[in-house]
Amino acid sequence: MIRLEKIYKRFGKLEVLRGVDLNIEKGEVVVIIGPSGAGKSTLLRCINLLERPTSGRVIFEGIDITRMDGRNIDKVRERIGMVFQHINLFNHLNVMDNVILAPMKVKGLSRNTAEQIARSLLERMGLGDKLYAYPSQLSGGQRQRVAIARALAMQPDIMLFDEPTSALDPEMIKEVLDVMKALVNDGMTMVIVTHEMGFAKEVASRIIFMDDGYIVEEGTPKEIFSNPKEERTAMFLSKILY
Amino acid sequence: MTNEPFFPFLRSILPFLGKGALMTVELTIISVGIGVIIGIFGGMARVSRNPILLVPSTIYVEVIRGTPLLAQLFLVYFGLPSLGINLPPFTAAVIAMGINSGAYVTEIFRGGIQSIEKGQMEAARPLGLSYLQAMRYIILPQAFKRILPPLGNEFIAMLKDSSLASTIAIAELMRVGREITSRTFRSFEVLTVVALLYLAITLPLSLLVRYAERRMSVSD
Repeated sequence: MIRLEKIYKRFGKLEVLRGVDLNIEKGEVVVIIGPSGAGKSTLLRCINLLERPTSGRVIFEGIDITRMDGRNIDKVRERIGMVFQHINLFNHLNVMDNVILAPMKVKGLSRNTAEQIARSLLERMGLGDKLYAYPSQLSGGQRQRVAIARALAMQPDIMLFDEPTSALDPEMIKEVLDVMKALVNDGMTMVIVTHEMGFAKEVASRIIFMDDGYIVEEGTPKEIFSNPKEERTAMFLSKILY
Repeated sequence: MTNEPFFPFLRSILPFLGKGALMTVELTIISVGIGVIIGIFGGMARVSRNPILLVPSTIYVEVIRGTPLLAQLFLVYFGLPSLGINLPPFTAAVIAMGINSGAYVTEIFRGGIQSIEKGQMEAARPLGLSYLQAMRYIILPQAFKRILPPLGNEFIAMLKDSSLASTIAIAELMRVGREITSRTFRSFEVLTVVALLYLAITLPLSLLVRYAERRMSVSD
């Protein structure tokens, strides 16, 4: 579905990605782990060209989107949902308006249709009683669930999660992970950057371990967690697993 | 008339001053209106990375802010006729003041746009919103809320600066005041009343801005 080929990304002198190849099939749940500064988030952001690779190709359903013009990239982005560590709900809009904005303005849905989609999504996220609350009136966990609903309202083919629980209070992590787990069970294609190893182990069809701008190792959760081949993977895991 | 007691005198000149004040308000609203329209696009140009937008908008702001409004006013009213462009005083005034205001409002919008967290634009683009859509639906509405106070200040400043239009024969408040003075020689009283009338417009305006600020902060 999405193939990254030899992705390099430089910020000035800093080389964040040094030739990453990655293939994501439909229905896969790919979890990217690794120390901070490894380039995980940058890689994720290259998938929807939020970050332009310095070189390399991003191929979405057979088409190289790095060569597309702005308007066509917008078309592709509609189909790739994204959820951020810092959530980034639109602060001036209530929950409902956050979710229906893009379906109305980008897809041209009527307010009615968009609201129907939004309401059923938000109810599934356990936010049925918060439809008209403003972001500032919600907890971090609730905000992140709204952000997931906002992305899902565009009915994307794939969802990208950039450390979706890293900025949350501990007691709110589970409610967000539960929502994500439900998505996995629905068969959504997902790429997740996270430090939640228990969650990674449980939902991942494939784990990618990144360090220093490279993919060091990839495999099933079992292979990576119980039997890492690379020393760097083993060292990282020994530091973070109790 | 010159030695009439103050209050009857005041009553006799107030209708004229009132008309002048109305002209002052009209002049200001139209000028700042033009300024805001210029400012929205100017502000976006000033945060653009495209030099075709960034360079002209920067030059515009620097030139306008670095030269006196009076000079700009004279240039439009007295200067353009030598190029064959003759404008009536009111048109000349709103063009000069609108362009002048536009430079200040451009900087106000630039600051407002830059004050919105980067994450808002970042969240908008993956949803498929174009840069301009994200600006229109996400960034500008939030920026507008934040720039309301400086925009109010700009309006008040322009209201006072509109007194410069008296120099090109527009019968606004200052001009009317000076005409009455030259007829009656009661400069102190007339000019005090003129000043108080400016204050009578600007003061409620500051209160209105404060009220709007509070109304718009519901979502905070």
